[in-house]
Amino acid sequence: MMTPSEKSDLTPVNSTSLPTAIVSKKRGLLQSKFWILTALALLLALGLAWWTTPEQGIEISIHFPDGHGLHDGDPIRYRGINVGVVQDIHLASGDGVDVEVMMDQSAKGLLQNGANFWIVRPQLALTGISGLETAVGPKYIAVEPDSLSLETMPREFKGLADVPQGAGERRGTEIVFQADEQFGVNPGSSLSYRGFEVGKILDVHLSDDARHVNFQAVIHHPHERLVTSKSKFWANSGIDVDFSLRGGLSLDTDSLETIARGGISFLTVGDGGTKIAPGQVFKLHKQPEDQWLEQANQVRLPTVDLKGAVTLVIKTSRLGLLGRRSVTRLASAIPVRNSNGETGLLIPSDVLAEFAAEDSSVESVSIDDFSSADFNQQLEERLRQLAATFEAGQTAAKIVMLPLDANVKLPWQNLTTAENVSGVIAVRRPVGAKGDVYVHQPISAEQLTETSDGPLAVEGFVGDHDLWNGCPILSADAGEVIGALVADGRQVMIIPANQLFNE
Amino acid sequence: MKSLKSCHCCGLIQHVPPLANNEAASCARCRSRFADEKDRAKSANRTAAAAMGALVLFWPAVLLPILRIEQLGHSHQSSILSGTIELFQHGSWLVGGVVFLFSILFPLTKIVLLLELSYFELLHRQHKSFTLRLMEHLGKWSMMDVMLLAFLVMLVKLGDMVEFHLGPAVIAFVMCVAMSMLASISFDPHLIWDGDDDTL
Repeated sequence: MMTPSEKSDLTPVNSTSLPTAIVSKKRGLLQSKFWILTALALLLALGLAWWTTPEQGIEISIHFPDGHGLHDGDPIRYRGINVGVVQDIHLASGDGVDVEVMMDQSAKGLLQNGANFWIVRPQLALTGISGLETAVGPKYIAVEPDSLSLETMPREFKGLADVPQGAGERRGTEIVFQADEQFGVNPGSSLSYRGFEVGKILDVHLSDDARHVNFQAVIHHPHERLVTSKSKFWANSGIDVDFSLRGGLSLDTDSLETIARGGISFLTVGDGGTKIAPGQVFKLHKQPEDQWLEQANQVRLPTVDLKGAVTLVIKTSRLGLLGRRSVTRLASAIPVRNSNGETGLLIPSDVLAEFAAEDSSVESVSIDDFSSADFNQQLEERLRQLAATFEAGQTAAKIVMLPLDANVKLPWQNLTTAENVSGVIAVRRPVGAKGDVYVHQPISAEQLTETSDGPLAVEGFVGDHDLWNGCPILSADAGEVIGALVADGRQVMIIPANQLFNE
Repeated sequence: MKSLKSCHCCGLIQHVPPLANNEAASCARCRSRFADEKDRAKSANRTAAAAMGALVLFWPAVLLPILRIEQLGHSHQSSILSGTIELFQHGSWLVGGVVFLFSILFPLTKIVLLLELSYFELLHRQHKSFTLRLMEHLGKWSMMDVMLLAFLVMLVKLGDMVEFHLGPAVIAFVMCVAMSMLASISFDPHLIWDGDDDTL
């Protein structure tokens, strides 16, 4: 190996001349424009790093008895959207597994004491299949917050072993049944009244002393009123076989679901029962006694009185292609009395259009059941007066007050301003009905949304808009008239009582 | 004697007269331009800047997630480094080693060496030639750009079966490849000995 000095000896250099240093410019740091590129690269690198750094979430730990094949990176979902991700799963020091979860900051509100976590997995039953997406896709943890809990942000939770029955379903009142046997009733079985499902069995377990089987059930709102202390419960076997030599074989079956999962039926067999309290215990009979149904038919349950509507009948003759023809128009009306003692008839304003229309002439106006010559004349007069004050464009979808004298014998209703309604009932008189007959349609609180200018908008109203227009709205709890329904073809709204008198 | 120079293109040794500021010398035979001090400094600066940029971008390219694969709802994302580690963990030592060498180690070494040769000059002259040779050989084997092609092939071939999402590292990766290519192009090996001539 040659040293540099040896190497330099080989080159034909005049050794006498000393090498002169070359003066050159120092390479400055920012001499080239390329350094701008470097700066950009640095910015890009920092930007990417900042962009990908995950938002710091909330670390929680959930203890499950069984992992059910959960993986790292599987999501936590609440109402179908991801609110967190599983970071780590390991065996717990005692029994079961600990799942470390990073929850999104936005899901902070879910982390309350008593929040339920469970691992969603495919479940097949005769009544339905659930969690099917997890058969091929990833498992996930579902979370359901406890709306009653005030304490928030604990860091450790206990997960549920099983998918809870009725998770995220409607609220209701919980009651307990006690029976000698299970009678084939399972969690998820239905609780039915005259075959109509009003609740669900949540859990079945042996009592502490192992002498009974306890069933935990929930009766959905607003069917609690069907159950009183005089209610009788029995287990549905699903199949009823009756064999006699003369009658032959008679087979009476319930729905396939009831056959497969069993169920509990009940009837309220006596008057004057007290309202149930949550957690009340009832005996579960094996079979219904024959006289129960008979007795139950005589019981009038403490229900809201369906009342309020009268039917306004307007007979008009209209000029058509084939000459004049008679048209009968029916509308719901509510006779009301306000706090000052003034009385009047609340009617949908579009009936006034009948009086304003040029091609029609009103022949007679009456109210079913309350028709008399004097009254009909007064009614027609008042309607014409009111119609005269209305301009054509103004008659769309409104409830108007038709002043009437209090001495007319109408079922006057006091208007009540309801607050925090838990559900309402729309009431209508069936066409041509005589006496105390009403048709009702329950509207749940979930269907109602408040609008900024007062009326409540109704979602998913089923029913003919023309028939229901102007009908009274009763509160589901007390049965008081709290407003009127307006259906104008596109939109269904409830106008609350306090706005009706201002019209 | 100082005026004797070899043309870098055709190798002809010739006299190069002293030049004024605005003059440049060209080879008598092939007309290739002789690089002067300024050119060399510029080239070195460019190389250094580009190499520095590549070095900065190398880390996000290797460490950030480059690919997210979604199959039937299962999502898996990995960076180049974590992917390599996973290969090792699965016992694929050969493949893992190849990926690690050609996609991580060689490109990094190349960038660092370019930076050293063009800017820092920490090494002694004697080692510089070794460094240069190392750099040139490693450069041939640093396969960052090939990796990009592999991603493209995956995207095209597997598009229907699994869902691919390229991660943020791809941007860094592309830029890093571009920067290191720029650095290689603008690198002039002569500048290694530039200014050393007279120490002989």
